[in-house]
Amino acid sequence: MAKRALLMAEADDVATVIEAVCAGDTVAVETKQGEAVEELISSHDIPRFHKIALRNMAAHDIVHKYGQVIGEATAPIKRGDYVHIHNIESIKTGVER
Amino acid sequence: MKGYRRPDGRFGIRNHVLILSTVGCANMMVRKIADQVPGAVALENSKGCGQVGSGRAIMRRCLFNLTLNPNVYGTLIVGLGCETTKPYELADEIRQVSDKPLEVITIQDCGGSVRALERGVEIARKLVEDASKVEREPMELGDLLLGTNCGGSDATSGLAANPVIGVVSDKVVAAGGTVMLGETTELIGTEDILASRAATPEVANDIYTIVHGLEQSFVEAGVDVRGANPSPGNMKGGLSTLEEKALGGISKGGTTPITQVVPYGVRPTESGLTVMDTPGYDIESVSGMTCGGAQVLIFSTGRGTPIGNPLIPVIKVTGNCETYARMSDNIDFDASGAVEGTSTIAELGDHLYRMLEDVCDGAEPAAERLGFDDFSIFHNQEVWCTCIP
Repeated sequence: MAKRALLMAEADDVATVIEAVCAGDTVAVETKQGEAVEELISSHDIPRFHKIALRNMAAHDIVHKYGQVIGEATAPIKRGDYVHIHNIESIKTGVER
Repeated sequence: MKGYRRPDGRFGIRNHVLILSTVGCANMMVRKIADQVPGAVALENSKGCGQVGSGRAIMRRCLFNLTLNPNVYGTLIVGLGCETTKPYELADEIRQVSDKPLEVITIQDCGGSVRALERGVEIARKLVEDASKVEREPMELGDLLLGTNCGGSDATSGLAANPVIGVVSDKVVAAGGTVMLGETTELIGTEDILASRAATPEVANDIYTIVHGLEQSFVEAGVDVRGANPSPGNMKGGLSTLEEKALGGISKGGTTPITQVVPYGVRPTESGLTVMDTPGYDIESVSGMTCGGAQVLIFSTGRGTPIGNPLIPVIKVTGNCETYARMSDNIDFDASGAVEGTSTIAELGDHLYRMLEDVCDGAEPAAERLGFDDFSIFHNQEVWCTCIP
């Protein structure tokens, strides 16, 4: 059976997996209201409550969750990839770049 | 809902006698006085002397405002006698604005610890006796100043716990009450959203001032905010960036316009949703809101945290069912149904609101039941150390 993931806003680039996911698992993305949005295959193991990518992103692409900016990609990310501190980071770091 | 009416017309939901230390040197004394007087609450001072500039000003106004918190019936100020917070002067200034019972002693003027303890216990006993005579009267939801805070957040905080708290915040504001959002470090990245919800251009400007000011301080100090935020536990819980944590955090303030931004430890003059400029460190943030007049606080946690407060009940909410099961002695409310899909944010918000009513009427949340009295006033402008590496 597909594992559940929660989409917080329509245009988000990521969803939060509600149960731990293994590479190769099918992930069913749904809205906060419980409506099914899409299904995708996870490329990685993803811990419970961590994020899965819903679309391909290039390094420096802006990443959205809650319909807002949560940071930028630091490496290319493919749909189905695990998204965390290894491939995204804050834009507001307090350090001049 | 019933509360204790104070001379200024505000309502407390608790009826504490506060034994307030104006300096660390008097901390053992306030603790010993409160130990001997059931019903008295000791409040220790993390500093109170050797402070300059804004550090001293913040300490002074926090001590001042603590005595005005509606949950406080009356206060015994205990000083050493030579500290920069000046206990007698502080008491005189408070008496100019407040008719609450207020006494002051210093260890030096009493002639040492033994005599100060004797005198302090005598005064505290009388205050507790007088406090016990205050009858609870009907109060309205609009009489509440509800504080909010997050600690040990994980990804479920933004998915469930904070939005559920947001439902309660909206109810309090709709009834004419006041809600307080804080933790400026965790507003970074949300300033445009918050400013767009500001009731006036001045409030929007204040939001940008506190957020950009903090960012600028990080730049000037040459430190990367990511060293502390998100914390290791936040990251383990699925939060990747500061912005992600912040966006999840602000939903606990609900959806109403922001009516005022107040400095640390200052009581808002406006009702509605307010922002207090507090640090991200939970104990200092909750303490600042206590100084600002909050009678009760709702606290969201993903990883689980025990912290409480000596003067106000702190209600713990988690959206993580594993944390709720693992730390049930520390956590009051399970909001995980919104994550698991078994209940809605609105339903859970109604349940949490009923819990808030019960707590206002005397039910003790976990931290209060366990006697957890964590307290610390934020102190900045530490000027003493050349910091040889």
